Amino acid sequence: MAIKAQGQQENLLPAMLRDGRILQGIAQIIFVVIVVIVLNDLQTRINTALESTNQSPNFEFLQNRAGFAIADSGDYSSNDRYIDAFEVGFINTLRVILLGLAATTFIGIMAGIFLLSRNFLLRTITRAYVEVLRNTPVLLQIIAWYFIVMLSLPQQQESFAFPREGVRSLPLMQYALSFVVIFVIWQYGGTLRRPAWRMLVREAGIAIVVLVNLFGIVLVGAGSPIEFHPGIYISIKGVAIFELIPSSQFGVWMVFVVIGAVVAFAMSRYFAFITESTGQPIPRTRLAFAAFVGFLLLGWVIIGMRPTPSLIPVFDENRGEVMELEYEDAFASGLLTIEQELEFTRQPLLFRPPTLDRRGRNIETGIEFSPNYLAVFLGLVIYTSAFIAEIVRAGIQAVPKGQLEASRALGLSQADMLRLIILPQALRVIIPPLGNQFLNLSKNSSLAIAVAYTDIYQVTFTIINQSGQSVTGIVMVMLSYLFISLCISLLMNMVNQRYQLVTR
Amino acid sequence: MEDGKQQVMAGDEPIIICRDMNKWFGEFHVLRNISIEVMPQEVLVIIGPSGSGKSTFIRCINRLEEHQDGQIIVDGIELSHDVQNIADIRRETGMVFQQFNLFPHLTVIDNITLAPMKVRHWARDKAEQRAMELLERVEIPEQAFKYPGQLSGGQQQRVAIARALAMEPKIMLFDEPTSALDPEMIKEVLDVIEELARTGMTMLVVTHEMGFAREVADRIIFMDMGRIVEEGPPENFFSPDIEHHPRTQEFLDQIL
Repeated sequence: MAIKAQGQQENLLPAMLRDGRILQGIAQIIFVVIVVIVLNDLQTRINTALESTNQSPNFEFLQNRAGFAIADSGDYSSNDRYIDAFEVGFINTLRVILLGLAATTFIGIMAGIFLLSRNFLLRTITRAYVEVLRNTPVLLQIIAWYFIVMLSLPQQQESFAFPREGVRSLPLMQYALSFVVIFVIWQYGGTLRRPAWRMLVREAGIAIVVLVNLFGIVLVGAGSPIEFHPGIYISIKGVAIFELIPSSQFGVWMVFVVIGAVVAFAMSRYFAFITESTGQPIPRTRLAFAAFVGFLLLGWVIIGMRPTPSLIPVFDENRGEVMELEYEDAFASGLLTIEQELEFTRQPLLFRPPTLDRRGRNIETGIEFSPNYLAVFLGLVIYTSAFIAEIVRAGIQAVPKGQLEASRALGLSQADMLRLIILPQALRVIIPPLGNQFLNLSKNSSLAIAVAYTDIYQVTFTIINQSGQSVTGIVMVMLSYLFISLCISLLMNMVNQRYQLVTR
Repeated sequence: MEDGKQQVMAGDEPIIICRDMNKWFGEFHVLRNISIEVMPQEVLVIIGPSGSGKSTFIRCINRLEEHQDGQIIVDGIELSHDVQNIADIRRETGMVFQQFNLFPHLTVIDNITLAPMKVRHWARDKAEQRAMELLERVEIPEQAFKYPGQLSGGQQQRVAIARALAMEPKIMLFDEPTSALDPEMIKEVLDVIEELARTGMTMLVVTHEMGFAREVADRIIFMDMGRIVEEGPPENFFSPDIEHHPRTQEFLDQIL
């Protein structure tokens, strides 16, 4: 009775306005109204300010001539439009992010595993690596890569090339035989029961075979002369590597690739079924992989046997006339144009080593990475890998010790324990923070401006300076990063769902 | 017959032999000169105050812990650094842990079939059929397709027992199987273990359940400070008429 009386005493507002749900609704309406008013006011102010300098935001200016050159730009030139310049920047940003994510994941996972290694030296070195990188600013690291590492590389004329250009004699027969010998030693070692003997036979045997080959001791067969072209050039102008260009036969080869993939998939499923129904263990992944590689090689060999024209017209610059040359001679002459080589070759992919121009200054063919790109790439990859290493370590350590003990007590092998017990449980801890690191790397790529790498941010900055279209420019960069980030998030969410735990 | 592995006929020869086994954790001497023989089908219950080395002792038998001195021979196979011997012994011994240690990302039935399929190379059909039989035996066949996290503690421990039995081990090791359970679930787990003892399984059980120990044990050993202080049949061990070692007497006075 007393409580009711008290309630009635304070009943000053109508019942409707004391309903918590209605009160919340009113508060939200008021908030929305305030936000709309503020935003509207802001927009009018920006518009009037920009209109007074005749720079109201629009997208038409993107069609104007850019008038500035961009390093790392492929076939873009300063006569192209702003929108083309923007596109170059976007692609350059993607080059850093996509290759960077793959590399940093790989290095991070390796380092994470090393952090847990039983080997004291490996563990300690990795720990030092992680701590140094994790605790210094990424901007500093990118600048260090550029000014300390990249700029101390040799001049273009003395660039480091591997392997050295020239003809060398190699005992190919012996190499092939060595693989067979190593395989036999490995298999024989596996039959030994004592682990000490098993290790000794395998490791010592393989070491002997490898060393014999490394020191160039020829025991079997004669050497055959092999022409070497450098696959990689490293100099102050950056790094150039060989390119593989799909030739006219590439389509035929792709048929083999697809058939190989289908066969490998079918084999894997079939052997999985056999293992399930009989219990017989089959190394199905290895067999399927071998089948796939087999098909790739088969395709290569069959394409190599295709009929080719016996004579090829070759234009000789020195004589200024067209000659008909035999197939082999035409290729050996080095006078074929790249189009002709792609047309007449017997290989599905054409290997083109990086070559320098006549003065030895610039790279003419091959895939080139500028020192600016490499500085950004290495800086981001190495920095982020330190965080990923810690995430991987923590994820593996988050699996309770009891899980390992239970697996051991059941007699599971080390590999099965890792694959079936530890990884599924570690991944669910690793994936969400890993996604954060991926986002960090992609957004940190805007630090490219520090070493003048022409990424989207740097290019747009130039566009803004020239056109004065700051609002449009910044919105475009924002949307680009937003787009990239959302793609990464979407992907990571899909992976995350796959490994979500259904325990509770 | 070779590599120190001799097959022993079941029945007359001990299935587990420990000779002068010693183990240290750093400076701490956990196990001191443990010598014991366990016959096939024997149920050996190990009791003692906490920290006396009972758990460490049975964890040495399937090499979850490494002994530093002395000899352990299980089913004719000597435990050494030989990984093949360790694998052979683990295949013949099942273990049940205090904290169950079920695999949380696998269903109950997958928990049970995993090792038989991966280690014994059974077909899935056979492994699943065996798993269902075992789940019937521990009286929870209806939980087969749930995840461990959805079960009560007592049910989880019964799944853990089924998982160990699925490998058809010759020896079962129980490391305080009821210590993490609510009092009302203890009985359902002990019933399963008791039933198992009646089928003639060789078992080593570390427990604090004295009633259960008296009921199920063929022999009881009492450990303290890493030593076996006293051993004997349960009727002697719990009898007030027999003169005990002073440390045993002190322990019994506290718990009985």
